[in-house]
Amino acid sequence: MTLLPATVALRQQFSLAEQNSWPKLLAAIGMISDNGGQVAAARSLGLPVSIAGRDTLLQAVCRQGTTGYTVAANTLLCVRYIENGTNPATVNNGTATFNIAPSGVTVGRETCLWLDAGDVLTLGSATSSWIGHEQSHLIQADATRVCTTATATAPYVVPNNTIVYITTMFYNTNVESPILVDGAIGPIIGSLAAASTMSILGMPQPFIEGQVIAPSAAANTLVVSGLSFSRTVI
Amino acid sequence: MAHEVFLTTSFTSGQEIDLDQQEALVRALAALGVYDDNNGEAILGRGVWTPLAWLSMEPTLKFGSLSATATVIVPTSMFFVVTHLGVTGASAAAAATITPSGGAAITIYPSATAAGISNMRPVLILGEGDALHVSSNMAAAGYFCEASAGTGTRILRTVNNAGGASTYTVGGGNIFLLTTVLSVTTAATARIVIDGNTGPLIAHMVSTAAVGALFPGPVIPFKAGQTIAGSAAAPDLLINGLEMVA
Repeated sequence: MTLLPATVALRQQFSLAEQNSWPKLLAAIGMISDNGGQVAAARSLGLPVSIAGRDTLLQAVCRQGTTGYTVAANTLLCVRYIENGTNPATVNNGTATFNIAPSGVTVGRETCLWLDAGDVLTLGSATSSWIGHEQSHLIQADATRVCTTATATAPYVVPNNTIVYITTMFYNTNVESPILVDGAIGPIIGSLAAASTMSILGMPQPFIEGQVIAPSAAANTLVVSGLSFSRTVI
Repeated sequence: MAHEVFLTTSFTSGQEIDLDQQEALVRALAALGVYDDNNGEAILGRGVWTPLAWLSMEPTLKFGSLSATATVIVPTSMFFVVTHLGVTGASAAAAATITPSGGAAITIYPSATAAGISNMRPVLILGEGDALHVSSNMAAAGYFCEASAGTGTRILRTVNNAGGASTYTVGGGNIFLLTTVLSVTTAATARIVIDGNTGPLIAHMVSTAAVGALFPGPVIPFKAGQTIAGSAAAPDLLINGLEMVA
């Protein structure tokens, strides 16, 4: 395995092995350079070009009803939209089962909830549904999904030597209240039932080791999800 | 750019890349904010959630907007990525239509009083010859960019449950990046159906449940052969996105 340097000087000479690594890099993102390098950006259109065709597990997926969906081996599931029903929706992350939506949610909400192989997503009613995509673990070997809960007494703390890109946070009960980040009051977060647009962060937000996320209200439970990476390879 | 270098679309193992080509590669990767720490694998992970910035050197990239009974027709070899649709009055009736190149007009924002839902954030990709029309009290904005080789083809069409041509199938060897899906009927909704599995209700832009009509930000990728349909004969569902060689 030949690794390229993190920085490149103008007109730096590369070894043949290094040169051969460039095409692999470009192929990995499905990029064809036919415009002096500009296509890299053009092709992206601001979209996640990572979803390369060489990922054989890449596919869109949706389901309706109360049958639990278990994420397949070697697969990451990104749930983009949930429309829940009369009973709470739940996630089992291999450690615990927790609600992700209160009952009575009749309108859907966008989210970006990451689940890993073996995780189970279960919706609350026959008319409930979700949509998202699956992909393989074609990411850094140490990358893991974060899908957990945080309370006032048990906040989520980013582990040492880790950066976590939080893609969604929401309460699992029908409340709206601010979150606390490192003890400071942040934006109001809602549930998947609430109209609050801050239920979803939209763009991933980076949190580094030691940062603390907690709900501001003692009785509330915050669902936190994203992808976690070791800082050593960033 | 004073000195452009074009790279080949494929490489042979052991092929030597000349200095100019190396620099083109460096520029391409720098544009992505990428360096290699995992023999190429790392890029996939990073890009999962990171919308990539446009190169500042992209000569055709520019903001575009229109309002108040106006139409824009996307120029040759360009995309117009509509990222905002909104009414310009608090309780004004407004409408918007798109007309795929060579096709019939599709109403994407039914004429309605849009109290409380005045601003939508689609990622609606229009290609060469496509038209966007906004009525009075309506505005749209986004950006123009080059639809260069390899970027892909915009998909802009409707589906329903009639089967046949009313179902969209992702082309062989391709991936399709779905950016927007919405009902094109004012008062009705239908569910999206992927590979025969029923998914969420898809609303129209004026619906209070309109968040189900759009997927801005990270897109939903489809692999070759996957099918997209609607759950009913009406309304049609508009699907939009980019399809490209995998």
